[in-house]
Amino acid sequence: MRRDDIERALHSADPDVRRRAVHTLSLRPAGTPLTQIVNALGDIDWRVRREAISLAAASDQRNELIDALLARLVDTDNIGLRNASIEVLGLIGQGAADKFAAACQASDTGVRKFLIEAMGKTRDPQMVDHLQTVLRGSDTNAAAAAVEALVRIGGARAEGLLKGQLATPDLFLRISIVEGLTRLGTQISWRELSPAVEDAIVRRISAELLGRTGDPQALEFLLELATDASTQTSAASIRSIGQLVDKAESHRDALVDRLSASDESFRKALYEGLLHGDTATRSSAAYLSVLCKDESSLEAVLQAVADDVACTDTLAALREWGGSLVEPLLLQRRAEPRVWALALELASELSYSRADEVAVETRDRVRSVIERDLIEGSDPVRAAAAESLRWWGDPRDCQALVECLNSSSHLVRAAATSSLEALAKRVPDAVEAALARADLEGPGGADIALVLSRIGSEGAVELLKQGLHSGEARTRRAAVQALAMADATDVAQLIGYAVVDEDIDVQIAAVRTLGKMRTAEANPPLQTALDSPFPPIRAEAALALGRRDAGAAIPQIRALLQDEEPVVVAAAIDALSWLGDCQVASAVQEALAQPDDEVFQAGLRAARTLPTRDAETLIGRGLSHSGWHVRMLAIKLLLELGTDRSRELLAEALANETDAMVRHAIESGLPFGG
Amino acid sequence: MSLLHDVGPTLDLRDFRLLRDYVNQFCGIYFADDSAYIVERRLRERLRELGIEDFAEYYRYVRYHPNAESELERAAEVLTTNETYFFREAYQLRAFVDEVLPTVRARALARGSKRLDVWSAGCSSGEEVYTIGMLIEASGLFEGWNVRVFGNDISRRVLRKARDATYTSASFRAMIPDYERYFISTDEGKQVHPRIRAMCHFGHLNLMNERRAAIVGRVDVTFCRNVLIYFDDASRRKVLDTIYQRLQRGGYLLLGHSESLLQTSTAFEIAQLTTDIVYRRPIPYTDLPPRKP
Repeated sequence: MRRDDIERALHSADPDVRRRAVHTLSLRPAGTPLTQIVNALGDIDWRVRREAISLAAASDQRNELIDALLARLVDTDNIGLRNASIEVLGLIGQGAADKFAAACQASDTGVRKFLIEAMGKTRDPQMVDHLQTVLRGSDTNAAAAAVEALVRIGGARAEGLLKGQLATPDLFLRISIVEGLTRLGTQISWRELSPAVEDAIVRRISAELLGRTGDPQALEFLLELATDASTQTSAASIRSIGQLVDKAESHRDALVDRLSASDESFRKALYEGLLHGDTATRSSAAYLSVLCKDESSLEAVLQAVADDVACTDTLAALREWGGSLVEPLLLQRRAEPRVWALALELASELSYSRADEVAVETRDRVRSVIERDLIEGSDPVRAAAAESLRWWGDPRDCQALVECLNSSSHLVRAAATSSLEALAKRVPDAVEAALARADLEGPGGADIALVLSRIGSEGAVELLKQGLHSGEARTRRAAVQALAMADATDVAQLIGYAVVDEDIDVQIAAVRTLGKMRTAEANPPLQTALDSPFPPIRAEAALALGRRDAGAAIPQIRALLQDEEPVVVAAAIDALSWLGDCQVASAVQEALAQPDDEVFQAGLRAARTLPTRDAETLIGRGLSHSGWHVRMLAIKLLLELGTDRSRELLAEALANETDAMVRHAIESGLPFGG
Repeated sequence: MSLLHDVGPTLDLRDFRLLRDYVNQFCGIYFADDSAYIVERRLRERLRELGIEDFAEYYRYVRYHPNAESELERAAEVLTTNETYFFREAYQLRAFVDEVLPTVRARALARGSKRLDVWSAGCSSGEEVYTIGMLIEASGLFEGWNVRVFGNDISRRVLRKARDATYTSASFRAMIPDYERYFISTDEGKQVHPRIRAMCHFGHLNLMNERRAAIVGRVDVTFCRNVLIYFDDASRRKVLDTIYQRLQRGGYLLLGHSESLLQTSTAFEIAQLTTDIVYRRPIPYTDLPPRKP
């Protein structure tokens, strides 16, 4: 579209034609006359104005445009233009605090608040000085706008100014400040907040801030707000009480005593929050209900745990409740299965760990409930009963647990496996005897293999070898892994067959297992695996051979440097560097020119094995990589090198680094894994 | 896996961030750094199932294994809380029945259509889909209409539950007694009435996959409640764009009560109803009826 076509289109009666014209201008904004931009910003159609904002933000006449928009903002009645101008000034107004201040002084009350809104949208800290004056001035509307603007700008200075005005006698302004500080996530002391919350209206919106004070004096206000008719106020108060109790260290017991002594209306509000609140509210309500030892809420608390919305502190508090919780837990038998499952597991744990606090008859009852539910329960309940036998289990339970391994539920199998593993340490013979009759062809074949690996006896290894013939790929995979864990000898050839198993996960397990074995018999199947059609197998095989120092495999591994799959190339580079191959230097050069981050990282790792001077330079290239994890690796390797040049490179990188974790790694010597 | 015990492989910050970013790229779910323990606890189940020993290996699995995509779906499934219930956020449902449905009905009739499409984006185990179905049926506004309520989720497990349509007490914690008539008691719990089930449909859909979302067609109302809370800003914007594209002009978007588009720049406009604020795809001037002379 030519300039004169655009000019004509800008005056079209059809808003969509005007919008397209402005859009065309925004594709190449340089040289667009200010009048065209300002006119478009004042168009009667919002779609045209939206395009005009993009155009204005990209204008090459920033200063002139700021002046023009400030002037129009002061004297226009066009609401569309005014709103669009505020947007644009927010986008381009950084560094123009003086111009905004001058415009403010020259404008009347009505316009001033729009200028202040635009100042906030710039997010420019230099605006704070002027906003401070407005905040403390007599114009309430402008002061409220200044609060909004300061909240947008944020930072310690803005927060300090807002806190300083909390005692203002102007109720409207106080409300604005409290809302602003809440949104900012500001930490505040009781001394700073208390003057503002004397007023009931302000108090009603101060729940979050009250919680952030961490001061026990805030509790009474929060208890009152928790029973507010507004669900949101009540929920915010419950969350804040949770926060308050969490922060309180020396006076936590006093707070809990006060909560426990609270009236029925608070309990009711807590229960509502526990049932119908959002995740954070339910989490806090569950925690507080447990601290108050409120038995009537127990089912809802366990429901929150089952829904995975309760925090770890709630679980700790349930355990802290002690032996007296066991009877109320047993009363949950009629609750939904997941809730009863949790109740049963917790009851059995407490009956064991707090045995001295639980009556013998109660303990016997827990034991008989576990035995019954292990057979008759629904899947979550069977799983809980099986898990409970980790503590209670003895030889007579082994058979029932082994039967659980045939369950179609992975929950039941996982729990039974976990208990059998624990029992295998205490009573290995009983577990082995029960497993001798187990069905390795069933759904629990893999779990049986895991338990057998813990036993590690000759009989267990023989059973595991049978697992290699299973029709279930999961079982074959587990048997391969278990044979290595059981430290069995003379099985390299058997595991070698698994390298050509029809299932890729069995193959991967076999390659890894062979890589960990000491015998030289493991090498030939691994070299076979280098030709696998599956990239992860080729990669694992190369790594395994590298770790095993299998120098004879170098020619085959070198060929993998040309593989089309990055994961294979990366593994080949790692393997060749471990094997000390003479061609590693050229492989590193190529790797550091690759876009794939895995290959690049392998190049960095391999560079570490080169002469120091080369290593410094090559690894240093990783410091400017776009991937934070790649930069982290480069930092780790340079720190390991520990040369003066490495430290210089790291210091230079620190100056440009924006990722907090990477900065921290440089500053403190890489504390993270990798 | 027991919720009471914290046992299994540990997830260091580096592997957490790699996994977090990869899952985010796949399905939009995002976890802040201080949520690493949640990811660790929930993904352990997957490591156990796959026979994987540590999280670094799991990361390689989801990047390079031939089954990586299906594993990412399983990861997304365990990483999100799928907890929901019938008649959640009743005040909003009241606004839906009293104000949104009549408006949508009038607009459809003006188009010469007797078809109503509602989308529950991220429907979890189906309670919301069936709630919407029951509300539409009970409103009596759409008798003889072609009504479709479509629910999608990334989790195949919750979709199985949704199709089964049988629920236990946790799903009924905010149940409205009048609507009990839409359930049939069974040994496993209460099952949604076949008449309601007939109007409800489900599909396996990743909301980040804009192309596949086209299967939803054009809808009159979209519910996307307590879904976007799991997403980062960029993913949220992407999903909202998809929802926008799928809505009829003038169609409504209903978010959860703790959610808003205030911090997310979108093309939606706010529609102030009597008991709720919802969002609406604007109606272009050209679609508005001509002014009377």
